[in-house]
Amino acid sequence: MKNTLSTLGMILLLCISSVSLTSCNNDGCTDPNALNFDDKADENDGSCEYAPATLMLNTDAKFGSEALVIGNEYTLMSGRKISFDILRFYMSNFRLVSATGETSLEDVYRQWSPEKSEMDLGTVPAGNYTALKFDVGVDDASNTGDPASWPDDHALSSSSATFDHWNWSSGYLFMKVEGKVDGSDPMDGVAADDLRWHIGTSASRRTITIPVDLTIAEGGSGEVHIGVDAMEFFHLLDVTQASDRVTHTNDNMPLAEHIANHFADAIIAQ
Amino acid sequence: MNFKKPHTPNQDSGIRLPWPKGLWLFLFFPFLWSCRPIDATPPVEAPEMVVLDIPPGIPPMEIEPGNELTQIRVDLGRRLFYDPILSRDQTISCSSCHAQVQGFADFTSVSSGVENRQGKRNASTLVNLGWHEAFNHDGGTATLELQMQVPITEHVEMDMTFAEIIERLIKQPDYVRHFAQAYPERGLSGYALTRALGAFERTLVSFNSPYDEYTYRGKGEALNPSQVRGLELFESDRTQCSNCHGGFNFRSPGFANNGLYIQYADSGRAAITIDPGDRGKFKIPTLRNIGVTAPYMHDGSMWSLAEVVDHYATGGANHPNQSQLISGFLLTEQERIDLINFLLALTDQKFLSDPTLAP
Repeated sequence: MKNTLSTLGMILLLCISSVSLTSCNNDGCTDPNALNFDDKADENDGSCEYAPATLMLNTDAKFGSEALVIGNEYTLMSGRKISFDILRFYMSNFRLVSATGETSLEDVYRQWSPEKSEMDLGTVPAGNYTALKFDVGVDDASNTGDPASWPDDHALSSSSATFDHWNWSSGYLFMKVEGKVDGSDPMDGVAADDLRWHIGTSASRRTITIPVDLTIAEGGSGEVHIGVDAMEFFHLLDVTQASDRVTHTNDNMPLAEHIANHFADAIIAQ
Repeated sequence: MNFKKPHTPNQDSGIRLPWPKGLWLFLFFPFLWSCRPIDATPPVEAPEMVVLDIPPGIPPMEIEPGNELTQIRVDLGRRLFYDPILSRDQTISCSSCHAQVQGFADFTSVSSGVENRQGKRNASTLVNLGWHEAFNHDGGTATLELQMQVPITEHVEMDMTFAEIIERLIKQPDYVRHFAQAYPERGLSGYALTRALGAFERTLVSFNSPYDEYTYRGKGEALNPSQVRGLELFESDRTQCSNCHGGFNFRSPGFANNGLYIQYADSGRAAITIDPGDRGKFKIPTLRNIGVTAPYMHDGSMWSLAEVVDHYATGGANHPNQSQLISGFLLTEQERIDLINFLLALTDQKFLSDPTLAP
């Protein structure tokens, strides 16, 4: 009995030493995206650890085929001049769509304006995605909540320099557009009439779907590119009419609804 | 190496002390010292709290968790309340339209904001706000902390943004320090700004009127006979006053059209709900300190209590949304005087001169 045991022991010892002799290979993490990437390793042992993957949203502000810059003058299809002082909207409820379903980017709120060509959407799970969805506007709970309760650097904070909110009824302006347009009839070539679209309330919230072909590796990063074309909102609008130039939503619901219905035309994949 | 301990045979017995008593105490000192670093945080002293002067029988005021009424928060709020730094041209503070001697209301029909900009409504009295469930005449804001964001940012009032206020305050080290002490987790921030103001405004409690003495402290002599008769009239089915202006704050939750006009320039509650049935409805106000808060009504259109009583006696202008309770009543001249005398018994002189509510 004792002999058998020691024989077995010898065999075991031989086995172990043979393994260590043959494996000149270095085991470790061979993925350069990993935090513990080992450049001496040539055999991946499954030990890779990753930082969370991230997602960037790149945006182009446009007016038709031109780049949109706040303060610059543009020409509508009708030939009328127009310029923008403010063009902003809140984005929320970001979701990444994959073959298996939707992944919500919890508590991600952003406010878009033409200067924000790169928006960091934070960390996302690695995966293959077919669409990015988000809402223009904010959810009801946040919309009626106290904007002062957010941290000052939060997109929805009342301390934000671009805080767009109806203080007296506790709701965000989902989209705020202000500028000047030539509304005279016949047109006189001068953008002198107020353009003011203050779009809000839950009835104006719309979901935007951006189709993507996006693979985000473990520890990697993804990019989605969208364009925001302000010209799209003007289809079928008659800017000689004040009712097509000014709305604070409740005082001119048809225009607010028109604008909201055109979010999906204006905000598209690039 | 020598691990031998010094020979102290009686150290554990605690009975026979080989050394003088004083030396024993000395031995414990190292232990006392070492306690602190292990704890890491110094023992927290309970912050000084503001105790509100509320008589028995009044339900407790709800306080937002995290904004308990510590003295330092209330002090910060009071400082901000009286500081014109919150307005664009630094000329008006909250107190400009909410003056203590006026029961934290204004003496004009419609207050002026920066650059003499005119609003459209009368500045409300600020009293016992911790028990209110809606704010502004149209009830558009649900909390005191949301409400105060209106006057601060309104174009015709203080016309500021939080971003700009914080930019100003951050240049004042004394303010920054005060914010950090009052709200260590948030420091100078929009959160702390609104919470500090809210904390101070919650201390604007008034329960020391003759009516309170009479009702809550059992002092029968606090009201004179005319006022007692006025109280009975106030609560009677004849006048229906207390059906809207009932309870310890002489108000009830909700909104009413009190028949001021056939056509309202100000749509009131309908501005929030977009319901035509809410047109001309306004938050039912408290009557506390009503004797000093003239002018009255949402637009400050009435200047005396006699005028107000007469308005309700005539039954209003019969707007379609007018409250059913306003149907008119007939008072003798003495009854009219009694009713007004009772309303004057809601004035709390202690509140109007309380130095803790002053700048």
